[in-house]
Amino acid sequence: MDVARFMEAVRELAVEEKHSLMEELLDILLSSVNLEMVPDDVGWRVNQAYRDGKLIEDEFLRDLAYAVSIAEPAKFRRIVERL
Amino acid sequence: MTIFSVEIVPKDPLWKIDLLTYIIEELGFSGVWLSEHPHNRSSFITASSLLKKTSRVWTGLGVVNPYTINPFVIAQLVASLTEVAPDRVKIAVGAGDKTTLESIGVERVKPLEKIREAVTIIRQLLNKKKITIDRIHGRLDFNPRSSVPIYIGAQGPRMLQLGGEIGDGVLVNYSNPEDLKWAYSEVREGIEKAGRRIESIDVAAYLTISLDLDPEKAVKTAIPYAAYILCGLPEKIMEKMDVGEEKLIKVKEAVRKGDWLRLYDIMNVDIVKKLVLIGQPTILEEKLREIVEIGYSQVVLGAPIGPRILQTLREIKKTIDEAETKLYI
Repeated sequence: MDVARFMEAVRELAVEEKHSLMEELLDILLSSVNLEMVPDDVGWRVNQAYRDGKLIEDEFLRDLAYAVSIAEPAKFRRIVERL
Repeated sequence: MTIFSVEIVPKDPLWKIDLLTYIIEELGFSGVWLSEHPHNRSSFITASSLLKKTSRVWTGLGVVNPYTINPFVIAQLVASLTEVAPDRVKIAVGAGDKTTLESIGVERVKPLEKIREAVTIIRQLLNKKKITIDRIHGRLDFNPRSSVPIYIGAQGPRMLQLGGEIGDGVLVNYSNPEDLKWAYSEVREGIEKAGRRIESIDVAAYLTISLDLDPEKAVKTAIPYAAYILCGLPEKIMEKMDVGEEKLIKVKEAVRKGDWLRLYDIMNVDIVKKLVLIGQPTILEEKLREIVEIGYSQVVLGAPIGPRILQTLREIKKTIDEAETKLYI
């Protein structure tokens, strides 16, 4: 649910804002101590999308948001509320 | 010129370690040290994956423990890795900490002899020589694709000296310049005793750092790492720490059980700050200057790095780039 709300809010953002949000989410994800909870296939999709420069695209941003919502639900909720 | 590398602890999923290494390579660091710990993912298997997907950074396995992995097998694993990425593999061997070894039923006896023997075996096998030491015989039936520098992971005075005597490099596991200065002099003593030149080996300051604009968060992130270091400190350094026997027993107990919440209660900020470099990323410039002036040829930025790893790594690299200009002109 939070991920759907997040994606809806993201659509309204300018490219620069979307990029900095993506960076913020990625930092939260890579700093999390709860990554065992994130499904490996989602993690690898985020990994490959970053390498390909595609993490900002909706399809992969959704994967990133989903991963953060699992690993760091409270932080993710705060971001959604802020948006 | 000082080399800067980053430590990654393979406790997280491979997709994260792989991505972090990609970013570290992108930022321009020279290499990645993968710590080896029996409770985490295997550093060798992790390295195999990373080396295949990177093109420039080297990967160091360290510190590999000959009490838990037979030195013959260490040589076999390292030689196999050179086939994945020739000239991009390093290894460090060390005797580890007693608490961790005891928790997996391994007795840590005669560590100096154990490391000396392990380095001899690994080096000879990697040089395609046949081993005939006591009960150990044989050779590798395949050719390592490149040479592999062997470092010694050290903290105590005699291990530091041994590193200077027989290592291609030494990983010195301290974070404050005062301890690093003392440790460097011990390594130098070993080097001189062996009639070697200091320039012939890579002496690396393996720092444990936790940097953030918010010092409280930096301390919290550092606590489990500080506790691990505390448990493995040599007696001489432990005395200086002034921790107290009762507190030390409680810390060891919490580490053994993996009870992090308990550790947050027991460990006080002063102890953590003695063991981990804590502060804003900008403090690194001053510390790096001190470390380079002591003589260290490599600085390893060790985990946890900070509560926000991506941002901190980027800030650290910026600080290093700016400091390098000042340090080497």
